[in-house]
Amino acid sequence: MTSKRGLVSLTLPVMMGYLPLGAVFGVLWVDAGLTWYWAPLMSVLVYAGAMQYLAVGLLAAGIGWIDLAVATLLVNFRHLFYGLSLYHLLPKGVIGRQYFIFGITDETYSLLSASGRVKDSETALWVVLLNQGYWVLGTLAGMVLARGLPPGLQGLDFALTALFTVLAVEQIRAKKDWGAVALGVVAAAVAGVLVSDYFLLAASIMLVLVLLAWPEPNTREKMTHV
Amino acid sequence: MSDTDYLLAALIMGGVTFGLRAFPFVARGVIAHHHRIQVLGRRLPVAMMVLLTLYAVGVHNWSSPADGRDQLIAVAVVAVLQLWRRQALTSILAGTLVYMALVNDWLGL
Repeated sequence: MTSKRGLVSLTLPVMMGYLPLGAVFGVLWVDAGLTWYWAPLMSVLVYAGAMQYLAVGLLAAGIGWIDLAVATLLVNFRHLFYGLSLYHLLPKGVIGRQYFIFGITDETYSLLSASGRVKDSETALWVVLLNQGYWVLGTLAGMVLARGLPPGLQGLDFALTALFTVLAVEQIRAKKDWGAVALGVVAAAVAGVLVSDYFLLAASIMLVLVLLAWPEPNTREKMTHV
Repeated sequence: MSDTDYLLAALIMGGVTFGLRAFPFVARGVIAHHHRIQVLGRRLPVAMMVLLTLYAVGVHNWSSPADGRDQLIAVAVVAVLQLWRRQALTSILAGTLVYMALVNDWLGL
C-alpha cells in the first residue's frame, strides 16, 4: 500500500474541503440550537455532507421520520451509481467492506475512481477513513467556533444554499441537461404554490414520476420499430 | 428532541445513505442494465440539485421574501465563481461572506 505520507498528500484536496465544510456544519448545528454532541455523532454515523446540512433545518423544524427518509433518499440518490466503478477496490474483510461502502461520499468517490493512484483495497480503505476523519475534525472545530461567534450574526446558513448552488452548477456543467433543469424549476414552482408544507417531498416525487414517465429517445426509437 | 430522536434521525439518514451506496455492490446488474434506472440516474441529480437550490433560497416560503435581493446576489456570486474557478470551497465561502455582508449590513448598502 501507499506510505502514510503518500496517503496524506493523496487526500490533501479532500482535507482542504472537509475541514472547513465540516466546520460550517458544526457551526450551523450549534447555531440552530440542536443538542451539541449530536453534531460529531452525525458526522460519524451519517457522513453525508449535503444531507447533514439540510438536516439542520429539517430537524430544527421537527420533520417527520418518513419525510426525513425520503429527503435522504432523494438528496443522496446519485450515490446509487458510485459503487459501479469501485468494485475492484472493495476490501475482503466483512467490516472493512461495510465501512468502505459506508464511506463513499462524492469527494471520496471522485478521488478513488478518477485519480488512478489508488490501486489496492487497503489504500482505498485508508483514504475513506482519513477523509471521514477530516470531516469529523472539521465538525468538532465548527462547534468550538460557533461559541465564539458574535451574537446576532446572521446569514451563515447561506452556506447550505451555496453548497447546493455549487452542486447544481457542477451537475449542469457535466450533463448540460436543460430539460432536467427546467423540470426542477417547474416542480419547485408547482410545489411552492400548491403544497408549501410538504414542498421537498411533493416536488421530488413529482421529479421522479415525470422522469420515469418521460419518453426517452432510446425508448421512443424502440417503440417506432414495434 | 430527545437523544432517542437524534439517534433515530441518524439511523434513518445513515441507513438510507448506506443502502444507496451499497446497492450497486449487491445488485450490479439492475443498475447497469435497467434502462429506466439509467435515465433516472442521468437526469434526477440535475433536477434535484436545481430543486434543492431553489428550496434553500426559500421558494417554498414566498409569503415572506425578506431578503430575496441578497439571496439572489449571493447565489449569482457562487454560480459565477464556480463556473469560473471550479473550486467549490472558494465559491461557498465567498458567496456566504457576500450574503452575510449584505444581511448584516456591513457595507451600509
